[in-house]
Amino acid sequence: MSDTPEPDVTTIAESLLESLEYRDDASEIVEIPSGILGVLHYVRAGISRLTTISGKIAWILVWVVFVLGLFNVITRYAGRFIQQDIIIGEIFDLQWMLFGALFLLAFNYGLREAVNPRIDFWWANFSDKRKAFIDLVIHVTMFLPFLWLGIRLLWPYAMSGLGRKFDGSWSTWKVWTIWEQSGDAGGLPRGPIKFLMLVGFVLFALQLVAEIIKTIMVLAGRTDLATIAKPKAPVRIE
Amino acid sequence: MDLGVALSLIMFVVFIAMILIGYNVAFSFASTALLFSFLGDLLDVFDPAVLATLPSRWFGAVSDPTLLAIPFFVLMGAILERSGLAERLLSAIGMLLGPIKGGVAAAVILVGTLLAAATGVVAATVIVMGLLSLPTMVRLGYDHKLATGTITASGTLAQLIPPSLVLILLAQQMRVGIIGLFAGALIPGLMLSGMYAAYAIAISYARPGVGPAMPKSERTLSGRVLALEILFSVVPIIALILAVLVSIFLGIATPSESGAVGVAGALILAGLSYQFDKILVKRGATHITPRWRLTAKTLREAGKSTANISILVMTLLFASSFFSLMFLQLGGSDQVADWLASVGGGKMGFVIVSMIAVFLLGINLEFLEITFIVVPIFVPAMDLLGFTNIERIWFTVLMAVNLNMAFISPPVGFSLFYLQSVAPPEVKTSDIHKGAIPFMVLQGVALVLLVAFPGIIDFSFDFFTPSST
Repeated sequence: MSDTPEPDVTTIAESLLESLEYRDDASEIVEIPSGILGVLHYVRAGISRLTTISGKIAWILVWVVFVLGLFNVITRYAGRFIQQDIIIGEIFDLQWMLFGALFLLAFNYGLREAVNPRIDFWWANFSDKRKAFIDLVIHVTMFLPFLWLGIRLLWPYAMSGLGRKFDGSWSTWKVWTIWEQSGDAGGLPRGPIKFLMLVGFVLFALQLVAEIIKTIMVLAGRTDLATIAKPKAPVRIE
Repeated sequence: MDLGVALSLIMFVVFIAMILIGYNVAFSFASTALLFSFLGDLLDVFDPAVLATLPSRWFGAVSDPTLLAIPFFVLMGAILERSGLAERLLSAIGMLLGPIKGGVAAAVILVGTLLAAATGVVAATVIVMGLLSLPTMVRLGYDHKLATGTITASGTLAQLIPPSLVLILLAQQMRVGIIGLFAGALIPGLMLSGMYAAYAIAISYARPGVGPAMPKSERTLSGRVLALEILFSVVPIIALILAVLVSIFLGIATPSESGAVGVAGALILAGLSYQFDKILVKRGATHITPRWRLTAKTLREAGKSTANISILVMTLLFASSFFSLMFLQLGGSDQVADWLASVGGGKMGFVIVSMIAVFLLGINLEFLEITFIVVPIFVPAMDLLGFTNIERIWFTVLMAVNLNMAFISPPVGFSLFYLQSVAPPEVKTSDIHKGAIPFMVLQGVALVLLVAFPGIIDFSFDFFTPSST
């Protein structure tokens, strides 16, 4: 092994994984269609920009959640050592809430990056247009209505979390500042995370609109959006 | 049959049809559930007011402390992989075991087991081992089928040996304690790994040319340098794994806390490896050049893959909770539970029928779909049959072993795809597929043993669970 240079396995793996990865930032597309498709293109590019931000927040939150988790462990054991309870309950709550924020805000990123699996038994052999057609029909007739239902259901839920009463009036500022307490003593209010569920669904619905636009463009003959024709590569999960 | 039940079964069929034509699995759950809540309302067998409970179900998933363990264990494995520590581990153990016949295969299995205990994800393990060991084994003249089967099977152990993403999800869906499940799965996982190693070595000795020993010229490390390499690349990782597992099993830390400590440990090891490399070079090692492994790129990539897996799992969880709510409300769950409970043979009959069903599904579906589709159906049947907690853990471990087969069963096993994507051109896809078969047989044997002797899992559970007495 000493006479032949050892290949840098990590680099190979990375470039390989990158090549499998689905990249589609609408802003990278040079050719902008004219007419109504052009308008759709800009809508999609705008949404995509939002989604990119979501993804970046998610990577950062991974590390924030880790630091909080580590902080928790340290305070717990340091506290045991000096025989004093120095655990900060808020930090524990903040940890799961930020993990929640991580995926709630990035559902849209997962949709764009196609991290969710498909069974590609037949799918892999379909033409681009057929793939786009299947996606378009089900997105519009069934999945978008689901998101609409989700938003409808989450709206009152999120609002009550933020202090709206049953009769529709809002709590006074004094009550508002207390919000709804979490189960643990000294916990954080849960209102914001409930509100994030709503935000997550709205962002997701927006990205789904972008996906629908993409399928329309593929059906209209755009071949540079090879995103749906992603090569038969394993989605890198588990 | 009453209308609601019929509707729920049709819903199931529509769902299967949708995923078969290739629509996204998670979105298929939500879409069919929506369609049938609408139909159920039209036909007066479903009260849409029930849908108002969905937000609190979703909130339950967000605030579930079990699921909080996912990012930590994924991140820990991702750091070990991206920083190149996993690769070092593999080459060191390969050098150590190389001299015996089938030694490189045994090394792959040992490393697969160690990485399985350090990470919860299969892809990383299979890709690293496929890139590094497969070319080596091919060059040494290993039978391609043995080489590929070893890599896919031992890489897949990551989903059975705790901590593992599959076990965390199964615990959440089956409603069993995560620590108890980890404890119950440990010995079955090690048992499987032992069976693989015994098979690989036995066949290498029994059939000449299948798994030759590493010739002297290939063994570039020996003596003191090899000992140092082992000390610096193998021992710290074993220590890290033991620290994480012991802290979980002794009840010192919750799984997510141990995960946080594990991530910190992995970061420290990646940082220290630079110092270790310098010491090695000073002592005369020529096979490495010291480099700083904890780069910004490593951290970014590790964070990114962790985020992706978290998003993937939670999307599926949100969507499938709507589906299982509908299946329950329309009466499908109770009906299927009745059927499963009345197959005869009581609990054992149920276990056998469900294991066969999971195996058949596993040929074409993957663990995620199976976990989210069938587990919510099994749980009511288990309630009906009066499964105790330990029996639930037993059953859940059986599921996990069974899902191992789904990973490597041709033609659509995730592990096979991962290996295909990194295999050198002379290794044929059909070899990868055929190579998995003996290991599937071993998994089948293990599954039968575990069904026939529940004592194995009971012992594992009792031995590793924090003293509950």
